[in-house]
Order: sequence, then structure tokens, then C-alpha cells
Amino acid sequence: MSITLEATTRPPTASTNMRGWLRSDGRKGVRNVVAVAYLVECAHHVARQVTGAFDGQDVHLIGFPGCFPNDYAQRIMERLCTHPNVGAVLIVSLGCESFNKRQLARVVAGTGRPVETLVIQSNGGTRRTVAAGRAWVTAQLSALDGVPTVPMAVEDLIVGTICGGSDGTSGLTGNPAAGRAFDSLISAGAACIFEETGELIGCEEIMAARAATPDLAVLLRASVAKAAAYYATLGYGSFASGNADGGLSTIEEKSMGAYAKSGRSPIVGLIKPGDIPPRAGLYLMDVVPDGEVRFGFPNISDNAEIVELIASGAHMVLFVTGRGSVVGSAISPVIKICANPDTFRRMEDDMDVDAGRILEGRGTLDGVGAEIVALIEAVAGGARTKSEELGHQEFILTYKSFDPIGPACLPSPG
Amino acid sequence: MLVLSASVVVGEPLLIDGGLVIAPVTAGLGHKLARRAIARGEKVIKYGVPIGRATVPIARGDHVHVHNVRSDHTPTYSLD
Repeated sequence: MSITLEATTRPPTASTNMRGWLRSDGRKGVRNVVAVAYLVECAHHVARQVTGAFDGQDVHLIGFPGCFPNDYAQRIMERLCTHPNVGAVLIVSLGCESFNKRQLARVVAGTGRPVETLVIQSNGGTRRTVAAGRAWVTAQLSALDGVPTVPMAVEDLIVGTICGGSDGTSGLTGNPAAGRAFDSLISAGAACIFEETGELIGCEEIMAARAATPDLAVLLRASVAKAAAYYATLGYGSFASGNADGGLSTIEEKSMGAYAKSGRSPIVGLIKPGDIPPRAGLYLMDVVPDGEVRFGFPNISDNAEIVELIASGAHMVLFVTGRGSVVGSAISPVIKICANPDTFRRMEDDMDVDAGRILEGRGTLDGVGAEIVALIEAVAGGARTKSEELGHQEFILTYKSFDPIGPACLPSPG
Repeated sequence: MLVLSASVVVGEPLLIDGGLVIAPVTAGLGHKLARRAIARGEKVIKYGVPIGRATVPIARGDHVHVHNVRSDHTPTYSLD
């Protein structure tokens, strides 16, 4: 990479200690990860053996299990491997899979990042490929160590939000507190993304009323209608048994709670996984595939959605949980906001924010919202989240198909 | 709809809008009790919007959950 900005390792800024690694596309990363990407399940073990040698360091395992090609998976992998939090990429291929490894390597190299492709079949098998991979990663880590950081501001940030393991407290404390944080970040110039149209069923009208343009309002409604039809065909809503144990009775109830994550800002755009918000503001991510129902459930578990938020450039992801999820993610830090005070007491080691205290009169939505914003700034200054400290780097990418978004999805401001 | 901000034990006396109600079940934080009677087929309102429909008549103070509410969209999946 050719970066010629003046830089220091920990530059002070006006109000925060945020700093990032400047990439050739102008984006800044809050981490400097070496991504190890397997291109088919058959290469997964070898890639995992490579990353396993770097426990506790920012060497993250990502990959796609399928042998058949998929445009969506190709695009998501390209976005992840050129994510601002990524500094170098090792591609691990079996050799005969259909994933377009040459294109992936070209896209990464085009950004100036170091990239290496190891093909297991031409590299002498498991043992030799693992050794070659570890040697390459070791060299990259020492090279990345010396790369300076530049000051970073809230305007440089993209933040995603998701809820998982929701219960009856999620919509009362954690989700609206995350919404307050979103409002504050957006007013300071950040781009924020909320998602899971399958969990906005019943909210489409109140959401459409917040659209920046009438055409966008139509598209927001249509995205939820698509999700409702898709899930109806599958026979299940985006609703797990634990949601009911936690007091949620229907998908509409869960949706209203989830919707609170979006805050009160106007909705300026509708994106699909891998689309990067072009400017500040609040975006809805449409995660439900287009066309007839294919390949199964839109997102088989929470980490599939987290990966999509990160593929759309999220530097970090706010994860609101009531029942108590423990996950983190590869590539971007996950900040866990616990909505339920009993769960927080049981699982405090996994939780970054105790939003459930609001229910017990020990906090307010505004107070917890401000705490979340302060934590985002700290994490962008290098502070580690609980899931990062615990080594969580979950990752899932499966088959999907999307049509590209149209111009009405991203109306020009003003 | 009222949301429990702490667990209740069956038989526990509770005040709903100043009126005494006996907790019909043991239920955890986040579960719902009916603030008023709801007829069979009537929409169940929470957050000011419908979250489903009553499948049986619901009395004031009853536990409102998957046994007496159904979604107008997709069925709710829960383990026994």
C-alpha cells in the first residue's frame, strides 16, 4: 500500500481517541486483520490449521463452504477481503472448487493489500499448505505491525445493528437504547444500518413513513412484503423457540421490538448485502433473497446477518440480546448489549453493555444510548469488546441470490 | 398489554391500574399480562400496534402468550 499521509500510532483528535488504518479507497479500518479465506468446505480444515497458530491475534478465518458458484457469495467474499478492517488476505483453495479465486485475488490486489493464494492440490497437500500459510501470515503480521494509523472521526464510521436471542425485554431496553445511539451517531455524520426485513413484519407502514422520498417508502414496504411472502413459503417466521420462552408471542411482537433498533432518524436508503452506504444516514438492509424461494432460509442464524452488515462496510456491529447470545464475528468487533437484567447477571463476562438496568430503575434509554456511543468510540480507539477478548470470531456465508438495487433505493440528498 | 419487569409466581397478588389481580402463572421478566379483557378474534395491542389476535377469550390479568394469541403472519414455533 502506498499511504503518504502524516500519521502517528495514537493520534489525539478533538473529542475521541478514534484512529484507523487508511486504505487505498479512502476508508479507514478500526482493526488490521489478516483474513484467511477458504473457498470450499474441503479447504476449511487447512485454513483453520493456519489461523489456529495465531490464537489471540487478529488472524480471522472466513470462508464459503459450497462447491457450486454463487454470485452473492463471490461478492460478499470480495467485500469482506477488501473491508477497511482487513490488512492482508490469504486465500486457501482446494483447487477444483468453482469459486472464482483468481477474481478474488485480483480484486484484493487491486486495493494494494498483500494477497496470497495457496492451492492445496498443487501445494503438496495439507501439511505443506498449512506450513506455507503460517509462514505467509507470520510475515504479514510483522509487516502490518509497522503500519501507522490516522485520526478517525464519527463521519468515517459505518455501524450495523442486529438483535439475536431476543426476549420480551429486548424491545423495551436494549433495542431502543441502540436506536438512541444510532440517532446520535447519524447526527454526527455516521452511516448506520439496520436489517432483517423478516423481523419488520407489521412495522412496514410506520417505517415507510420515515423514508426520505415517496419512492423509497414504496420500496421499504415492498421489501417487508417480500420477506413476509418468503417466510410464509418456508412455513416459519424469523422466530426461534427461545423467543417464546422469553415472553415473545408472535413475529409481529418481535418485529416491533427489533424495529426500535432503528431509532428515529429518517431512512435515507435501502441496501442489499455488500452495498456500501454512500453517505451519512440510516439505511435498511434487505437481507431476503429476490426471486423464487431458493437455497433455504434467508439467514440461518445471527452470524449470517452480522457477516452481511460487515460486507456492507460496518466497522462494528451492535448486537442486542435478551436471552443471552455470546457470539462475536470475524473481521469487525461486535458490541453486545444485554436487554435483560437477569441475563446480564448470569452472563456478564459476555456482555459489553447492561441495558437491562433500565427495567430496574438504574438507568435511562438516553443514558445507555450515550454509553453505547462512548463504547463505539473506545472500540474504534483500539479497546477490545468482550467477544473479541474471548476469541469469538464466528462466521457463516451461504447461498443466496439478489437482484441489484435500483436508483430509487439511494435517493440523492436534498 | 402489560409487560412484566420482574418475575411473578403463580398466586402472587398484583395491582393492575389499581385493581387487584392474582398472578395466573409463574412467568418471567418480559412476559405479558392482559391489561383488559380481550374477546376471541380481537386484535392484541402492544406498543400501540397489533401483535396478533386472541384465539380464545382473555380475561384481565391473564397471561397473554402463545397459548391464546396467534400471529396474523407466520405461526409461532415454540418447544413444549
